[in-house]
Amino acid sequence: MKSFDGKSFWVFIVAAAILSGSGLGSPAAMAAGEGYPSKTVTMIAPSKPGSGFDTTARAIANTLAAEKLIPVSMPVVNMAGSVPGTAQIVLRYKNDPNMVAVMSLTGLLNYATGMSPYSYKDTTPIARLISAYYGILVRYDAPYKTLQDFIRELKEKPGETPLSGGFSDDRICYGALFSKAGIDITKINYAAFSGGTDASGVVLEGAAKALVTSVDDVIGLLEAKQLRVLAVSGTRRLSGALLQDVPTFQESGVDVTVENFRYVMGGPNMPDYAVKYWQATLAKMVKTPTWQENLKRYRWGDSFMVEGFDRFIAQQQAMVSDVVEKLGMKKK
Amino acid sequence: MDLLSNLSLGFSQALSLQNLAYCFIGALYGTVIGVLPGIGPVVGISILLPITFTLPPVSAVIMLAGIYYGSAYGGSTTSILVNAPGEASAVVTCLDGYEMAKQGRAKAALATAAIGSFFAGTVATAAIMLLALPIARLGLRFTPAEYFALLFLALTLVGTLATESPVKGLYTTLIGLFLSTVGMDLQTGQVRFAFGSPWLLEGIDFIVVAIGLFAISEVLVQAELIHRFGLQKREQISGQYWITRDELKQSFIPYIRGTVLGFLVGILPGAGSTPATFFSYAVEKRSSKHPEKFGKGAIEGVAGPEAANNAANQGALVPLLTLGIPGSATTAIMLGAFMIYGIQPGPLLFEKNPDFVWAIIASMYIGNVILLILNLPLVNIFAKLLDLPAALLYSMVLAFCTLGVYSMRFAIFDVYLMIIFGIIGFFMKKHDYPAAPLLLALVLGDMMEQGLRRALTLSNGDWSVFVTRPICLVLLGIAAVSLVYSMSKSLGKRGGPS
Repeated sequence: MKSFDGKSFWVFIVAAAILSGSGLGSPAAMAAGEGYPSKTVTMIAPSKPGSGFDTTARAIANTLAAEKLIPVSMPVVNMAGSVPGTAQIVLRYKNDPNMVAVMSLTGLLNYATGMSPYSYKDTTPIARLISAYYGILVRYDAPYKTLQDFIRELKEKPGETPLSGGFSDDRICYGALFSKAGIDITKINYAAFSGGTDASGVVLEGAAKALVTSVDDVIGLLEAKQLRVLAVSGTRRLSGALLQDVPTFQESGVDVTVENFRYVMGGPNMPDYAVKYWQATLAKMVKTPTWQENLKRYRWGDSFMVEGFDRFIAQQQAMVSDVVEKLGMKKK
Repeated sequence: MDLLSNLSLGFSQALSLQNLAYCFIGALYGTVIGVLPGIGPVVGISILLPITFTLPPVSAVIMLAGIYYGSAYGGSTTSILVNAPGEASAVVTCLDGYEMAKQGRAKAALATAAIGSFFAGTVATAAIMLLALPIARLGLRFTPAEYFALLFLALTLVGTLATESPVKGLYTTLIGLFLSTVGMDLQTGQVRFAFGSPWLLEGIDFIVVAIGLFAISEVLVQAELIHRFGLQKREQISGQYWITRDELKQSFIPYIRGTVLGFLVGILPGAGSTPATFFSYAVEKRSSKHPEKFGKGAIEGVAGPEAANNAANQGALVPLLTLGIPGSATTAIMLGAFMIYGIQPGPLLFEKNPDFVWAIIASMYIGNVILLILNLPLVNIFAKLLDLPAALLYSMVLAFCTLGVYSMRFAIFDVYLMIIFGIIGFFMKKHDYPAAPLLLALVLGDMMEQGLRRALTLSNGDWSVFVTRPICLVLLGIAAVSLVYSMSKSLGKRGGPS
């Protein structure tokens, strides 16, 4: 009896190896992802522990566990930063339903500058989750009353009107804003710091005239009446006694909106059923009290978006690439 | 009063069961790595770092601080019993401590070291409390120009004070400065010297370099020593009393002098505790009525430097906490740890996280009490560590280092980098090139460069910012003087008979 010939055995082994290697798991699970998720789903935070990505990833994993929204466990894995992180995600998790990661505007910036060869199109964006909005901040006793006052001075004396802010996405904000306002942004002196809090020192001291950063980063300095916000970058005004009277860029006469959004994504060609599953699960998650608590604790603005997110992200990439071009930051 | 309410806030946190436990673990582990020759606080903290990521930041830092000042206690035990310092800052303690042990007064030597460490540790913690806020307030007025000047001074001092040879110190400083330019430049967003490797985009991780230069190289050195000389025997813990009233009396003035001197040297960015111990020994010898007894078992020769060592350790925390500038290899590692926990040391730390700062300060009082108990009545247990087979010990170190480095970001690249720096460190040790300036330059170099360029961006390219601001001018002036002085001294030495 010859029920088992050697050749087909090897074909089977190789096929199984390819399937399991590509993360598809057993052929049964392939059928439209029935019973998904049945395995551990890895959550990747492409940055160090304690970073913004890490905090977001852990908040998601903890909320999903606390609210019992997923039947499997979700360990958080850190990777060495958004550029190598994206590279590993793209190379390792092709077609894999069992990996999700957090990413942000920074990912689009990495691609635009040429630091990373992979664009958001090489991954599978799932949903926008939270956003932070930028502000143009000046010292409390500074002479500028409105954003236009500041723009006027920046136009007249770009050399003597230096700005400070974070080294990464904050540049997108000032680049987009001031180029739209008709200023040659390559003439602007911008001192980059590791973050908004760090960068506030030179504004308080008077060496820099304005700070460009996420408003949430310097809320303490606003409360202490050391800094004042001229305008914020969102489509609407921000809430809270401190910020509700601050106009948006658009209200101040410059038609620009910028936000630092964090989103959840899967690897390249994540199966449709998995994308749908996570979109539905995250939609449930953002309504839970645990998530609302996280929003409050970390001062995150809820900006959950599934419908139209692909259009939004394409638009953002175009905007970021344009600003990077104008700033002369593209890798040569 | 402000200070008292802050302190009670700190104690209320530090005395929680969890934080007490971490304080104890830190002190215990610190003593152990202090006792083990070759494994200093840099290695000890680096190895433990990845495990602490999941702890609450306050507990983690309380534990790391415990390791930091705890290792200064343990180091003397090995100096006294084996005549091999447990860490660099305990070298001086060998001179008289080991002599005392040979004369059968090991107990007295251990006791004066432990009591001196406790005295200095406690007094210096109080000094941190008094000085930290005023310095932090001064730091708030620092602009990038001042930061550049301060870091330039720090690196100059590190290079020139870290070794006998300022030329060698400055060489390694420059290598560290070069390494610090690898990775993304904040001002332009461009990547430098990464050669297309994604692992180098964020620069060379100084923890990897630290483990390589300090731990791996030490494993290699020990392997060579064991191969050539076999194992060293230790002296027994001898002596009838721990310490007599007379001995305590003899130690008391050296404690005070050592504490003051150590603290002042420690505050200087870049100096660290090893020079403090040398200064203290010199001062004690000079002010003694019997300088001839030094080197033959003078208790003052143990008391002064041990106090200076601990006081300098605490002093080095002042620039770290208040300005965010580490002054030694160990505080550089601590800075890295802080950042991983999402805490940015610096002038704003006292305003933004007062509970955090004061919990750590409070924990240091508690930690010093724990350490006194561990290192006096229980010193026998730790001395037994010295009987551990070295082959076993150092292969464990090797395993932990590899695991620690790999687990930071799961990159085998980092493990290779660690091994390369281990081999470089081994040859640096053999030829007396100090590793600390390299490491500090790697950590501070980027801050210094960014300070320079931010200052010039803000001044629209005008270099006069560095001389028109008084603090800046003074700091750069001191740096220039120390550079010229040490260079002329070392060139003079080479120049012939003098």
